[in-house]
Amino acid sequence: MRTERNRTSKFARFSRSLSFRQMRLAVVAGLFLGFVFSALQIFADLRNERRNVDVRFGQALNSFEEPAFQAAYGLDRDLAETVVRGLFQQIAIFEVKIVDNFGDTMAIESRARKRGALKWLSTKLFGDTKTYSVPLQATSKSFRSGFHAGDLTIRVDTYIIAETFFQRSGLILIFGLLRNLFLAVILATLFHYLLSRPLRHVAKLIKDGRGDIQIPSRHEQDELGALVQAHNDLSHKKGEAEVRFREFAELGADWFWELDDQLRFTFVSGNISKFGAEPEHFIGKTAADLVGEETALSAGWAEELQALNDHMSFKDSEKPSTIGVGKWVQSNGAPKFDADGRFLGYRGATVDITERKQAEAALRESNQRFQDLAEGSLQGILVHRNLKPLYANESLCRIFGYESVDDILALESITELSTGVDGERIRDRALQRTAGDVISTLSEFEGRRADGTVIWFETSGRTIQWDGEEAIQATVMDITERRIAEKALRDSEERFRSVFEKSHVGMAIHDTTGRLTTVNQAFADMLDRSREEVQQSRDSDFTHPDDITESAKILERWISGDAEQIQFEKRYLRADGSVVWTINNITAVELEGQGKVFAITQVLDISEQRQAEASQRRSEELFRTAFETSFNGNIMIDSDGVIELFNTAAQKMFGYTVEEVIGRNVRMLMPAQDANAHDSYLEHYSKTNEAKIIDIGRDVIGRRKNGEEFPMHLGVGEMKLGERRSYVGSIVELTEVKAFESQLRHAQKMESVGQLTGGIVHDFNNILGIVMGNLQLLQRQVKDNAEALEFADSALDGIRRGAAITKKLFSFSGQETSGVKQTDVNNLIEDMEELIALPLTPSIRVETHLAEDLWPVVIDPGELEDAILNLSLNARDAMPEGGALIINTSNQVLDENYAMQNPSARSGEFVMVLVRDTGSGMSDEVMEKIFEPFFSTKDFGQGSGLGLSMVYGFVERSGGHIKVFSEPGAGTTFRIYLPRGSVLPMRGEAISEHRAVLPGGNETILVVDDEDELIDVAVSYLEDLGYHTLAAKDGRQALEIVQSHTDLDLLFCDVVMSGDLDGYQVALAAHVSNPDLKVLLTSGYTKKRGQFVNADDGYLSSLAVNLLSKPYNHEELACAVRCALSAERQK
Amino acid sequence: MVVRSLVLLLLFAVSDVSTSTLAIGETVRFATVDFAPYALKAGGDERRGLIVEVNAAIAARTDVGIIDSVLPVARVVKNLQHDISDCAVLLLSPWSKEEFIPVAEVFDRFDSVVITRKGLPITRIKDLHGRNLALPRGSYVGFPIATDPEIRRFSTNGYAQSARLLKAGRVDAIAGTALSIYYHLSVMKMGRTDIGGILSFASKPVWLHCAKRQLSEKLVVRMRQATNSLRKEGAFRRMLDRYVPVGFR
Repeated sequence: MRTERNRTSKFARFSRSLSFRQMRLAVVAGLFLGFVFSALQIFADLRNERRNVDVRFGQALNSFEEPAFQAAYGLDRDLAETVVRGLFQQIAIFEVKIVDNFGDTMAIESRARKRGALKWLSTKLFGDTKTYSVPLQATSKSFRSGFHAGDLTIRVDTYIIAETFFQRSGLILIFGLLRNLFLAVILATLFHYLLSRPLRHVAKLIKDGRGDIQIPSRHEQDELGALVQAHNDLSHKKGEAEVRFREFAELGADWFWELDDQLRFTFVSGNISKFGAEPEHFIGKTAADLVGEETALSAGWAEELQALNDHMSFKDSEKPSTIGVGKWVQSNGAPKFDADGRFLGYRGATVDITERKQAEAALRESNQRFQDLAEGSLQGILVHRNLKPLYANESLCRIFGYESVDDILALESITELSTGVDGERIRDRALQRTAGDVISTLSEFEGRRADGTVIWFETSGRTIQWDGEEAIQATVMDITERRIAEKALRDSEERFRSVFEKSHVGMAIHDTTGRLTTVNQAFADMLDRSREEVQQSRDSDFTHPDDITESAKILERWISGDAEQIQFEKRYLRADGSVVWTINNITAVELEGQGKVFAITQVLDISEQRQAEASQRRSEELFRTAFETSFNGNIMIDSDGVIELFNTAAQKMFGYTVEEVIGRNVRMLMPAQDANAHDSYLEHYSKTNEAKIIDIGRDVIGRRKNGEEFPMHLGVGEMKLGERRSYVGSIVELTEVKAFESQLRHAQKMESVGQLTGGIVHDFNNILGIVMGNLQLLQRQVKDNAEALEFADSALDGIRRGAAITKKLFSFSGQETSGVKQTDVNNLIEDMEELIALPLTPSIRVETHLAEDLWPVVIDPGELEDAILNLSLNARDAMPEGGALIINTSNQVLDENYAMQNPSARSGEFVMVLVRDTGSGMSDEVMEKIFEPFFSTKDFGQGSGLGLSMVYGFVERSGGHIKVFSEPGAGTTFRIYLPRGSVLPMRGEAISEHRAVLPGGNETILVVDDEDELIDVAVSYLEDLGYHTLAAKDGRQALEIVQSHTDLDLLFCDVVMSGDLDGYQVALAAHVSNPDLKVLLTSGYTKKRGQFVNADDGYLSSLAVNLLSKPYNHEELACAVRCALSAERQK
Repeated sequence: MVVRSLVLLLLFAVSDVSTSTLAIGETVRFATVDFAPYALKAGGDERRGLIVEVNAAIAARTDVGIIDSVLPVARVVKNLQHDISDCAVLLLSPWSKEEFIPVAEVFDRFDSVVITRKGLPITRIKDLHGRNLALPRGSYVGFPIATDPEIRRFSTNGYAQSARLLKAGRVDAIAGTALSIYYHLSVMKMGRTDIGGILSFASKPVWLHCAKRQLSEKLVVRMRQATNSLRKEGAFRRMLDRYVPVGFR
């Protein structure tokens, strides 16, 4: 046990030794550095390993590349397998394969990959696998340079590589650790022998108190030697200090003493002689030995004696001296102990304080007198020095609310008796006084009582002597109540002023004479004047002249005491003369004993309010006017559909008066099916805001008072006033619009059919012309063959009948004929009265009412006759039981409005021909179709259906307009409007088809037509008549010939041709280049003729009028050509 | 499978590509097996060889340009299968008829033989039992000489190695196409008197084959006509005779 304790003790000492600590530090540092450097080494190894892996397997691939190429090139699977097996010998490779350039695997070897606990670490460091591949290509030295035979690929299991790496890294770490351990042991041994042992020897010597210690050998120059040397030097200095202390003690004013552990004096300094004693008297004796313990106790030394016995220190002990009469001393004593705590004795010093004690007694007496005076005073008295309270009387306590004077004296500073800022003031004043500055005697401060309440006090101060030192005596009087009263008064005045000045409402104080003594800025701003200008003026100076009288009356009421408060409106005038409306509220102010001395008026500017009211009234008026005077029907309903407003146009539209609809639901204006759904629609919209018509607008059906339903376009807008919703509907009646749209559609349809018909007829006419021309030529050829001639004649008859049909179709399609001339319609009707009456039954009465001074028209009279006849025959058919046929003529002027309502009409002067019957009438559906070709209400075979279409075509072609009115059972009325005519130049008489000798000539004629057969026919005709001919197939070619042949006499040209020029354009161009050239146009189709007939250009008009219609026969051609050549030159 | 192997064995290409002057218009890509004497290097870029000449004659007669690639056996077949080459001269077999278009006959028979060393006669395959037989690697798969377990086989890189082994006495016999073996033996300066017996164990006609999706029908017909006319004229036979070594005629 002892040995173990010894061993433990030795180890404990060793573990505290410097060498152990050094060794431990070295080991720890070594371990740490070892790990760090091992880690660096491992990291470097890892990097190398990664690099080497790529190099190694790359070399392996390269070494097998050539045989692999041979295998792939030759598609030699055996060789490929040999190569693969060779590579596969490397353990790290887990898959090898050779693939040819066709993508087929020639040979492959693989094995399962190795598993291990550190697989995860291997993956992180080296990756999961590595794949290396080399294309198998022929080298430049070998055959088929550059040929890619396939690919050699290996896959490497990085875990196998990582295993080796891990093994190396483990060895590095283990050897590093062992190295550090050995190093630690060696260091510990060295430290112990070189440092710890000699150091411990020196420490023991010092502890033993050796003054001079010998420096251990071989350590003279190192730290240990220096340490020993320092110890030796210190010992010498200590001895010198003791000597010095003794010398000072002898020389000092106080006397020093020292006691041993038995409390016997071992040293007393020489100053003890002041008390009539000698130091030697004390040495070796105790205090009790010298003066006797009872004496000491009676002198009050009990405490000190007890301290000595207890080995305690005492300080500033003031006692009467036991040595010397009437002496007082102050003593300090401190015990001495050694390092082990053993009591060694005392050291102390004692001072003579006799004189000080005497001074203190005198001072105490003086203070007592002061205190008696101060305690009797009603004012608070405070004495302080450097702000620290030294004295306070009871009155002060009462003022500041402290329970006792001691509480005040306990304050650290008199500033605690005041609040923050005033505390600083007090401090400053105290400092000024202390510095001797002259300051006012009375000052007011804000104080704080003990309970925290604030008071005000007035104080005066002077400098006094207190306890032998300068202090400040302050006299304090409580002025809190006086202050409160003053403050209340100031606050009241301030509040009033604030309200008066800051008010946004104008305020004015005026006296009983109406003079404005004070006004606030708001009032001055209201008048756009300065305060100075307004104050001291009279209120009436700024009042609107019209309000002065009323204002004066109000002032009178106020002065007379009729009312305490009066409110009224009045107008002021600003500096620029503009008016400001105000509401004034006057309040009288009375002072006790003085009655009403002034009034306070509050003036509120209501100008904007007045303007807003006026604007609103204007806006309402505008809305009402717009609502009422609109051409559209306007209706306002609320969210339940109840009608609130109903303008004049709506009244006319629906046939209701305002009184009949206001307050009723708007459903009454709708057909039943719409009315039923209306409420639900409104409700749905209120909930969802999904609009079907609101802000959208659409066509709907309305219902008048008489039950009639009519189309209308309804646009609805929403108005919100707060939470209230209203809807305003704007209605346009579409009855006339619908009718107009119907007429427009009808006119467009007729136009389209006309164009189609005209195109067909044109082509057919050309064919007829060709056949006719050739038949006529044939007639000449077979004129001696009667039978053949008969056949030719019969064929020609058929051609003529076909031409008649096309003529009718021409009429429908608006094609012009050659019989246009100025015509008197009245004469024409009179001439054909018999003709009209002839086909009618005797039960049909014919009436004619012909206007006098009827305007002439330029039409084909034959066509007008045909038209009237057609209408008469239709009227006959509509009156099988008899009736009346009325024919009227009159001059009519159609205005723009009529033209807008009738798309096919135009404005201007017209001759109207009216044909009316009292027959069965027609339905709307029949009226839609009556002008269509081949439409008929008669039985099959009873009519061609072309009559009315021919009438329509004639009217259109004449530039006129036809309108029909009919109702089933009420008869039918046709109104034909023919434009008032102007005179046209005519080239000659109408051509007669039958002439025995055909006119001819020897002129040169240019024939232009895009139909070769028609050219042939025309050329044959003309040459037969003796003319010279040239031919062209289109307008461009014709113009070239015209320009190159100056001997041309006549241009005979088709109107409608292929190319970009029609006959009219060619004629115009030819006329420009050769004004002497005569022109004859021919055509089987022209829509333009109508516009040229009435054109302003006379040249084009004459061409249009004298146009030769196709198909033409030999005679017609001969006459037309001769007439054209014989005509005067056209300008 | 057997016939296919025979085809593979018979058709060898050299690694170079022989070209002829391109005919105006079409060019046909031939593939020739890289085995002597079907394709031979004559020095520089010039190529000779039996099949090379056959291909050139057919192309010239057809009036088309020719690109002749000399390739290993398996690659010739694969080129045709993958439409990299248009035509090749192959042994006719059910497999070749199915894989390609047999255009026309070039030779009516091509023999495969076993040749023994001097002093070792042979009349049937069983005479090789217990003997060492040199056989080019991958050839005659399915044939008794390749499958008979009683025969000890040594795979060679080609007929040149087989001939060297026979001459060195390391094997008792070698097997392969007659023309190739004769050629290589003659190169080794061996003649009829330096060998033992000759046993023919297979014979097949040789035809011009074309890949199925490459050439137009018109061109195939022309090539057929050209080949037939050359054959009938005896051109191919004359070519063949030039390549049969004197000692083995």
